[in-house]
Order: sequence, then C-alpha cells, then structure tokens
Amino acid sequence: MGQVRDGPDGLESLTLEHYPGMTEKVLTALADEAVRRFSLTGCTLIHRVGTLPVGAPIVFVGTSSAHRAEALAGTNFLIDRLKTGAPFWKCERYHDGRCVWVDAREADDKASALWDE
Amino acid sequence: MAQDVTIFYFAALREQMGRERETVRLSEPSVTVEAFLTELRQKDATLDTVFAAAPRIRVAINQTLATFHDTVKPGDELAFFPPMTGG
Repeated sequence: MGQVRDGPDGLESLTLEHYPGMTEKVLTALADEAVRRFSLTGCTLIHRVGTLPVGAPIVFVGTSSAHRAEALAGTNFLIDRLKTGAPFWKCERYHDGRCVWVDAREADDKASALWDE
Repeated sequence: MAQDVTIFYFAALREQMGRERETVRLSEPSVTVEAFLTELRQKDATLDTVFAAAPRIRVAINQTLATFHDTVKPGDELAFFPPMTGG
C-alpha cells in the first residue's frame, strides 16, 4: 500500500487527477498482464483520486499465487508499471494554498522499463 | 460532427492551456499526431507556447497511450498530458 508521504514543510495534501475511461482501461490491462505473466490466482488493484491528506492511502496492490515469488514479483510489476503507465497526476497542496505538480522521476521510468520483455 | 477530433488536456497542461477540452476539425482524413499538432500550433499561440515549453508531453488516442507518429482519424479522442505520476 502506498500512502501520501509527509513532504517538505507545509505539505497539507495531495490531489490526484486522472483520465476517466483511460484509467480503468490501463489498470485492467495491467492486472490481466500480471495475472498471465506471473500465474497469479488473484489480483486486487485500488488507486484513489481526489484530494488526500498526508498519511492517507493512495494505492493498494494485492496479489496471490501458488508460490510467494510470483505474488511478490507480480506486486512489484504492478506498482512499477502503474506509476508511469496509468494516467494519474499528483499535485502537492501546501498550507499557503500553493499547488505544485509533481514531476515524473527518471528512477520510476527505469523501474518500469526493467519489466519490458 | 464525425469529422471532428476531441482533444483533452490534463494536469499542468490543462492549467497552462486554460481549458480541459476542445473540438477541432481535421483538415485531412487522417494525419499523424505530429502533423496535426504542427497545424494546431500555427493556429493557436497559447498552445504553441505551452507545447514549446513542455518537451516531455505524452499523447493518448482513444484512451490508449500513443506516440506522435501515430495516426489521428475523424471522430478520435485525443489527449495530451505531462508524464504520469501515479502510485
């Protein structure tokens, strides 16, 4: 589970914007790929949107399989891929009213690319 | 109208464009995103400025991630947005 981390001073909340329609399409395709690729027996993927206070959960990834290795790999695959491949954008809201869009991180792109077949 | 393309803008791009969607008529039956964008930038100074200042813009066609070399056809839903930051 991923939560809103306490950030720089004055961070109050995070607002998650998304692309209705594409979001569901992408997450469903990711879940299907994970089930197929890691022989999962189950997979749960929840991603919240809207304004979330510091400490609030944002995303939950749950997987099950005959052996733990596949479930753990499937979980890593899902979170790595959805961070850069699902249409969500984070905006940091501060006590002084500022809203700062979070920049995509190269490290996240690299983590996702590791799963390319 | 069926020949029109609907364009959505998200996140920082939506704010910079000052709008979240618009409808544009295609001048040709099918054109690459790149060519279509060149046309749009010539007609819309705001869009030209915004896209010039944001090199890493992504595009989706009919709610599927695409590239600027992919083709846009009448009736398509296009979306432009900054790199995604989910999770």
